[in-house]
Amino acid sequence: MNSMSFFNFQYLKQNLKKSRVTLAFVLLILPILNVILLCMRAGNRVSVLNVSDIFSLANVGMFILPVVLSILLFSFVFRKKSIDFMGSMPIDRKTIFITNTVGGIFIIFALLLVTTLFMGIAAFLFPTIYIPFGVLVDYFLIYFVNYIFVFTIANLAMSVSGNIPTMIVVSLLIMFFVPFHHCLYQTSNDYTHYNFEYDCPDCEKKLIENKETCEKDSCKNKNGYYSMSIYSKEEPVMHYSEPSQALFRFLGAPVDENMYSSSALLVAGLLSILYILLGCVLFIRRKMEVCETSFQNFFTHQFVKAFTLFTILSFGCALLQQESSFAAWLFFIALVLIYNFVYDLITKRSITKICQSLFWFLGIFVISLLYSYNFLYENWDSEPVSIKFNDNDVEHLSISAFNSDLGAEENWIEIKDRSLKKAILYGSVDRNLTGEFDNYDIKLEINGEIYYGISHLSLPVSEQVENVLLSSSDDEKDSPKDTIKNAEIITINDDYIALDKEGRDLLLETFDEENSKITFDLTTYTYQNHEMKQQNFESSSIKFQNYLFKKYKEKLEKIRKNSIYNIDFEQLKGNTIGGATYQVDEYTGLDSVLDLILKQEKLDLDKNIYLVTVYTNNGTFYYYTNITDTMLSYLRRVDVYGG
Amino acid sequence: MIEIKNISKSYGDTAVLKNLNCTIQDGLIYGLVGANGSGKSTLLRIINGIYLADEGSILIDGENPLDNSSVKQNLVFVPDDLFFYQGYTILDMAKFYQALYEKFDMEYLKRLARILKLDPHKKISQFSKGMKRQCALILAIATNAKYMFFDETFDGVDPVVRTVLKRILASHMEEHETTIILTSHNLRELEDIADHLGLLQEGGILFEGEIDDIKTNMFKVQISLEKDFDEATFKDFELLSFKKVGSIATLIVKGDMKKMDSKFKKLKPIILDYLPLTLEEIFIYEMEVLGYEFNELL
Repeated sequence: MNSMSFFNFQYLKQNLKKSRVTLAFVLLILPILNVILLCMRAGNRVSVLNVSDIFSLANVGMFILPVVLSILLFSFVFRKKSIDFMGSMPIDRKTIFITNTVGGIFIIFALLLVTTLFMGIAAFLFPTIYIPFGVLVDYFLIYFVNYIFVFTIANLAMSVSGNIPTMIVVSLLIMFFVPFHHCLYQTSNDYTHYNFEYDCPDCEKKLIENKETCEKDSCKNKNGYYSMSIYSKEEPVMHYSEPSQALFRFLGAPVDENMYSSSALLVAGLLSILYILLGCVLFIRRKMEVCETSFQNFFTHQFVKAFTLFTILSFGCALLQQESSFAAWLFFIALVLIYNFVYDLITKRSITKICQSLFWFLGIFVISLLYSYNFLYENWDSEPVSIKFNDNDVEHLSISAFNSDLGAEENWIEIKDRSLKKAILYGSVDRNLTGEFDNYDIKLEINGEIYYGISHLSLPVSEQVENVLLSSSDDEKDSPKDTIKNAEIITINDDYIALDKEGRDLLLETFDEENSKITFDLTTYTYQNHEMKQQNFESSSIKFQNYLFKKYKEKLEKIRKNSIYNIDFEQLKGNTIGGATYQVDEYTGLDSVLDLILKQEKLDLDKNIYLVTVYTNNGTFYYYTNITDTMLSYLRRVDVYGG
Repeated sequence: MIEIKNISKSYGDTAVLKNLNCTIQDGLIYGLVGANGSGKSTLLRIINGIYLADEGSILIDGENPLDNSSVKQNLVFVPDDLFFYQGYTILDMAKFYQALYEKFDMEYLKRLARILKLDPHKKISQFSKGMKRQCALILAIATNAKYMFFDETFDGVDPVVRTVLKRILASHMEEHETTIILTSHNLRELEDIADHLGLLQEGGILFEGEIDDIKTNMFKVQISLEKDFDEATFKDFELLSFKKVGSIATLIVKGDMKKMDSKFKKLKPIILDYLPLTLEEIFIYEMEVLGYEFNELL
């Protein structure tokens, strides 16, 4: 057996040649659209593109391009006469499948390489667009793996489907069926996840049963014991593959926020290998006469349709079972019934065996109804456990920063302060809530077991918690100097200037300089590892201000023609604004003032310093400067409100 | 040699081939005839490894062609419903064949295209139906495959080109010892080219044989005897048909002509004429013997 028996380059070449126009479209659509989007973003301001900025288009492409590619490469399997043609050729099915799969992977590689290169070149050509190298590498790797993943799914679906609509349906089922139902289950369980939610009558009942010794309507008894009905298991966050995550993230469902997790990529990679092997076996065994229709076998056709129906019905039932009217149910059933027959028309081009089809529909409807009822009301795998404990039993108490103002990342911060711990525990059982309060997710470790709950904290306690979370967050922060040192890209003040090496060195020097009689407010935006940090600090470096002044002059020169419409001058008194103010616009000599600004040389701390705010069509930026006597007299003359 | 053993194939509930057995020797032009839907195309697809048989086996030179590219190098199939890639010329298609058939002869193809006046640089989609079939045929012939399968080969081809194509096939066969399997629902198309015929009906080969044997083994006889006679008079003959109008009877008889002639002469006939039978008539009479109505062939 030689390598030709697995891969036939000549066949691949001919197979690609026949679809060269569509293939060129597949190869170029993503890079071209990406560059167009970048061009649209390229303005006067510096745009540091992070992952989410450039990934949205690739996410859409992820669901379309690999499927189109699979259809192109295996197009012959969907038409009887092309099956006759290709099936009689002296090339075995295994070689066809592997050649097309390898070829497809190569095309995906080329597609993403071209896209990444185009973005890199665009970022190089547009001086205001920055894409960190790490982002480009991540972009390439993440989508290379995920596009291959979708491509292998499409190939697997092709191996068992007779026509393109069925192939798409099967692809969607492979990709989304399990994640969708898991996600649906998770979402519907979200409000019964924690102990003392208002919507949980069962929890309430248990609480009442245990509160014979409660004080102040709480469940803390005389001996200092808490009685809780609480879930001991954390809902597992399923690390879906990226296509599922992308969709669920778009729909706002609770998924793993970390879209770059290596475990998700690994899962996608391993599943891709599995799908290739499975697809190859099924393709070899494929009945080629099953083409131009869904499945020849009525049972198989209904079985696949049942999965799609089950998904739609269980989702609809879950929504409607909560409070919907009879009319809403009827409308929903009518819609799904129409879908039931439209599916047949699309995939089989005919409606046959209507009675049997309706029987299947009825069966699936009942199953979906029971399924959605079960996961909504029975909550079978998250039974709460009743525990009793006192303050001393709590080995660790952590509070989630996710609910605080500190950011979106779920991060458990341990509370060590005893009185605060007590307040949080009390908040978790106190049912007599009055006034304003904040809710926090809490995690308890009692006798080695982990429990999750919610604590309702009054505003003063909430403030204390926030302070703890804030200080904890501060502990983790790098110093401003380190942040600047490590940053991949630094923009200043209003994102109009990105610092080059000279600027970065000068900025770093400002940390070592001693305070002079005047300091300038600085805001830096540093970008590293896909994260942007904003830092505000004061700088007294005259060198750095002169550097900025030089850069802003360059910027002003570039954008003066059609972008600036207003400039404000505000005199500094000491370190604060408080002196004379002037304003010029295009009707009051803006152009002349700009000429005068561009003639200015360096900042002199011994002279009056002004904060100059420049208003442009794309936003505002500011810098510090002196004003010459000529300019001052000009400003006084043109700005009737100034002085 | 192609050996077809106990092949069965169904599409859903419809059985197309039932326990079919057949052997096709090398160097033959085998004509497979059958009514529409009799399973000719399905049989060719199974032999070419396109469809899987539900039961039975196919052996080509002792090997199974299914998913066997080395065996398939010796097979080429021109289906009834032709397929060409969108926007392709004959040369483009030839390059596709050349990529997969090791013995594909590009120069031969160009020569054949010249003979048939087919522009190799013109898009095939712009050709007429008959010209498209010519394209498919010359592409197949240029593969130099040992076994060539043509399904409803001459459908849409005008009589002149049909004759040219038959000559091309015959000469190619002579040069390359090719075995050609042709199917048609029309016996007349096969009569002057095939040297072996098989009749496919109800999923099986009902009747097959060498055309020469078939033609020289069955006769239409017009006879009139001195005394009155009926069908029983000819009980010593292998009689397939007996029709009497007035004193003249028309008989279809099977057997060796010399022996039959001496037997007829013993009956002292007033009139004894031997009339030629077309292949179609031979098949119809054979079918009638087997209890089938086979008018579709006409």
